[in-house]
Amino acid sequence: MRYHNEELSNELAKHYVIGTMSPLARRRFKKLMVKHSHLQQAVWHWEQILNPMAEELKPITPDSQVWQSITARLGWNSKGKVSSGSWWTISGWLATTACLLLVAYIWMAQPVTPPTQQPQALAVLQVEQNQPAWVVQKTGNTLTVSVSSLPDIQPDQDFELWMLPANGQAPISLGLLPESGNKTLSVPAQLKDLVQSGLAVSIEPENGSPTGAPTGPIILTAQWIQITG
Amino acid sequence: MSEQHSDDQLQLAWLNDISMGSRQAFQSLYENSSGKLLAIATKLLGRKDLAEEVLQEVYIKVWHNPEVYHSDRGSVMTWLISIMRNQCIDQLRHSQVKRKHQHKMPEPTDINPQIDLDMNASNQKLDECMRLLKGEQRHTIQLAFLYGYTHQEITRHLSAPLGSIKSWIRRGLEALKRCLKS
Repeated sequence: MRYHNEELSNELAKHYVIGTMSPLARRRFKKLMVKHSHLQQAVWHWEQILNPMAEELKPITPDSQVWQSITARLGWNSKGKVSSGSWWTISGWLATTACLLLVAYIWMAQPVTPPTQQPQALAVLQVEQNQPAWVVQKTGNTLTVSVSSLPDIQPDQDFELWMLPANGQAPISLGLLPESGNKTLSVPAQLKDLVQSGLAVSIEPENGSPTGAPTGPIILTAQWIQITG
Repeated sequence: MSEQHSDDQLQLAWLNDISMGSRQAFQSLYENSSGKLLAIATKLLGRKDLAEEVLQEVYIKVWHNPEVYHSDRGSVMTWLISIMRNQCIDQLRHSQVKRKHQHKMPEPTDINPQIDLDMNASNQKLDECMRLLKGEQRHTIQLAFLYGYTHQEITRHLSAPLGSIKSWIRRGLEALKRCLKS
């Protein structure tokens, strides 16, 4: 196997750590690292050589809102308290609220059919303000997801939906999000506190995270809006 | 015990406590390390607001997965820097993110022994080894590692052939590795 060649491993690790690999090569290399532990070791070696250079930069104190946003996302703030992160301006929240009201209105305006079960909660997943990417509706142990405006993604990637438990435990995968149309996801019955939890979407390799935890960038987080008890 | 070693030990103790669910330890680690991580992300992404968003993601990951760290990866700070840099580079390379550097880029004529204009020189060995590199090697390593530039971007920035850029980085990194080991 070529990747067992020490010189090649060293070259690849060096370019991965310094950041000069192309996006495609970078994704491939990440997958290879999972299979070949010596590649992982080579990367750790170069990180220990180069990272101290970054450590020498003069610190920049984060805005206090960053810590507040982190604790809000971990569910440590009082229930229902809104994150005040830098990406959520007042106008952003107003836009989100308007968006939710519109979705709720459309849902309520639909012809009344004898419902077997009423939706209990809605979530609008948006990457950019005023532009929902997906709308999720929870009915019983089923999530109905519809695509609104799909963010950019590479052909060999998927979007994965995660539940962020309010108690701060690790994210739990709820499944892959559709790239067109609608999709139904089943929620395990034991996830009773789903609507009290946050939601997140990450970009993952094709067919989802290989580790059971988010491995790619988190492109958005969202909260549920409860419709019925 | 040196200040650096003491910091490493503290961060390791906090990480152990975080794996037991200690929010206090998580806050201590954040207060101790977030300034450095934000400096790294701001340099890479060129925007403090974007850097603060990535900073949030990094600490959320740390809270959920503290057990991912182990001593083969170096100090806790080395591990945190790797998470932060990887997240930033993935963002930079993502098609939706447009680089908008707001800081002043170092010019080719600005190559001097100092590692970078915004740097402290607290790591004497590293500083010494960087000084020993050829100017073009040091400069291309800085542009790639600290500013997140691709080979092509460095080629445009320095108006030098791609082959030369690759060669400067490759030889510079090997020289740096040899010097740090000596």
